Amino acid sequence: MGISLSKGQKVDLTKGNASLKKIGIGLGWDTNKYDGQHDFDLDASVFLVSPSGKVENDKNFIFYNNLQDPSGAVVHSGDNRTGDGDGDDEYVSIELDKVPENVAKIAFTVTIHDAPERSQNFGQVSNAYIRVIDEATNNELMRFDLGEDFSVETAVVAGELYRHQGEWKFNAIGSGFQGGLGALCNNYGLSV
Amino acid sequence: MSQSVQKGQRVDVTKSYPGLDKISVGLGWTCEKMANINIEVDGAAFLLDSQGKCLHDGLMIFYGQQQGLQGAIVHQNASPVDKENFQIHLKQIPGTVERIAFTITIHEAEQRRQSFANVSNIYIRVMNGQNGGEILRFPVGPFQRETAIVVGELYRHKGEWKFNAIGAGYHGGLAALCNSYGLEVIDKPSPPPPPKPTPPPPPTPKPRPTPPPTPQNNPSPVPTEERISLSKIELKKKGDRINLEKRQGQSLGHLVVNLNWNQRGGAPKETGFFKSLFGGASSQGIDLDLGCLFELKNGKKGAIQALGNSFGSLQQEPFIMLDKDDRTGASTEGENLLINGIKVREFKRILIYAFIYEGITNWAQADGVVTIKPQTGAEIVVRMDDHSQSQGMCAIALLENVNNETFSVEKIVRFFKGHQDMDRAFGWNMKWVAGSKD
Repeated sequence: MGISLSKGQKVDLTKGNASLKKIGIGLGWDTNKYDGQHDFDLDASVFLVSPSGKVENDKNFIFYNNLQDPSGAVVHSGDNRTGDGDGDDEYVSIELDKVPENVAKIAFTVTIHDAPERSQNFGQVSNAYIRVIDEATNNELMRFDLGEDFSVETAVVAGELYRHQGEWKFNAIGSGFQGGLGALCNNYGLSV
Repeated sequence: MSQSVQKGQRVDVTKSYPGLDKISVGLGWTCEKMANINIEVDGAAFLLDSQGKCLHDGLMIFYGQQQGLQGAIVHQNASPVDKENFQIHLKQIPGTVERIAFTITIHEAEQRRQSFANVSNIYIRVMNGQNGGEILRFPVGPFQRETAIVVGELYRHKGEWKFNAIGAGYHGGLAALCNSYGLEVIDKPSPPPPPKPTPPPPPTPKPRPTPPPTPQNNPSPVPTEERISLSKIELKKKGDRINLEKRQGQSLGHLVVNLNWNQRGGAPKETGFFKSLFGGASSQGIDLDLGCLFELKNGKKGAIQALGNSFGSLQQEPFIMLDKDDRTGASTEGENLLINGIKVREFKRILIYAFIYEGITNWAQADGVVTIKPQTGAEIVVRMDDHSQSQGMCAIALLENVNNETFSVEKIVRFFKGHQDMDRAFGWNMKWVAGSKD
């Protein structure tokens, strides 16, 4: 078990751990199963953000229709449509050394597909988390349980990797938005 | 100020009201009028552990078990505004209970081909028990095929209680809910109390016979087996009788006597007397009025009914009150008499009756059902299933004082020309004047 983060906490990732080259970001959640209700389709997406706070290139938006960035540093393992099963529901691999210099931070988000049509929101999602794994050892380095902070939101920025004085750090963001993936894209300067 | 909550929302309850202990959770709904049979909606609360399971049967609070945890949670069938209500002492809820789920289900939905698609205006609201102020309200629905709905949950978070607006459900009714909460349900409804041999049809007119000295069956309405029975107790035959269950050391509480019946044509129900009083449009449907004759230990006698504006009082003699909420005709839940069971020792007997104030005498079409809902223990159902009669007055059930502790309920379903005939048949011997319409 890695360290458990609380909302807003910023922690060193590579500092003092120079051997860390390839990490995995695991995202998970549970939904209650009721009859007569649509399945929940939660999607993890990744935004590669420039120092200006924007995503400069559509290809730097990694999601179910674009599973890796042009540099090949960030690879999304694909969509899990139902959130069934144990362990991470979606997974993103990152080779830290390959991340282009103009990427200042990497934001990991979870959104609910077709949320308004299905009357769904994060209030109906429980046990959501984001965790960071050292892929070389498969050890969990840190974990952030998103917990109770959301209810009617349909998009969540779970956490961010960001550069700080030549090292990578992790920021446990846990901010919710209404308006789903579209709202997040607009937030990062992408038009949908 | 009340907060309006939407589906999925998680909101603070105790954090916003420091020190809050007593809360009241109200559930409400409106049933569509069905062509054949009324919709019976029941509220329940499940006290769940951290795994979302009920640890034992005592943690399911519903019509068959009206309270739990030594009174920390009490279910009430009657409430001035809501259809059902739970009174909860949050500080008395043990730490093993992490969540309290509030649910509504349709009784015998499958047999009756009903679902929550036939129910509208569903809501849950949480009130401050100290001052009655509404803390939050969650309007729920609409639904399709569900027959069991988890309306909302109270849950613990960091030492506080919060509310999560769920608004989702199951197709399998109360049994599916129980299963999802880890409770086993008896497959078949528990058998109704073994009926006594049918008494020979009494020659009419005849004073009500004293109960035959056959050994009295007093089965406990709440089964003591480990599994839960979801059945209600129906008195099937005339003369069937059962005592209302009373828990040791607890008062009987308020009883609700509900009369419900079918309205032809799906028009909103307008009760007979009120309808004429308030100039409602004439409909082809049948209109019943609920009433009772009472006799107190001190010799006082009388009738409680809308006709003649004799609504009674719950706190003073006769400790019986006719619920006047139906005045608008908007209620689809029939009519209610409230009986103050705390005063059980004051009563000698109560005869529940219904009469057709206006319209054609057609009991088959009305298909009336009287449900006696005690504050604790199982509901008792008496169907007016003798449809052959053309007389406009029906004595439905007789409640009698048993040892100053509880009431026995006996199915009567006998028909009369009017109040006076019925009065004489049961030996009330009051003076009756011609029915006044004021």
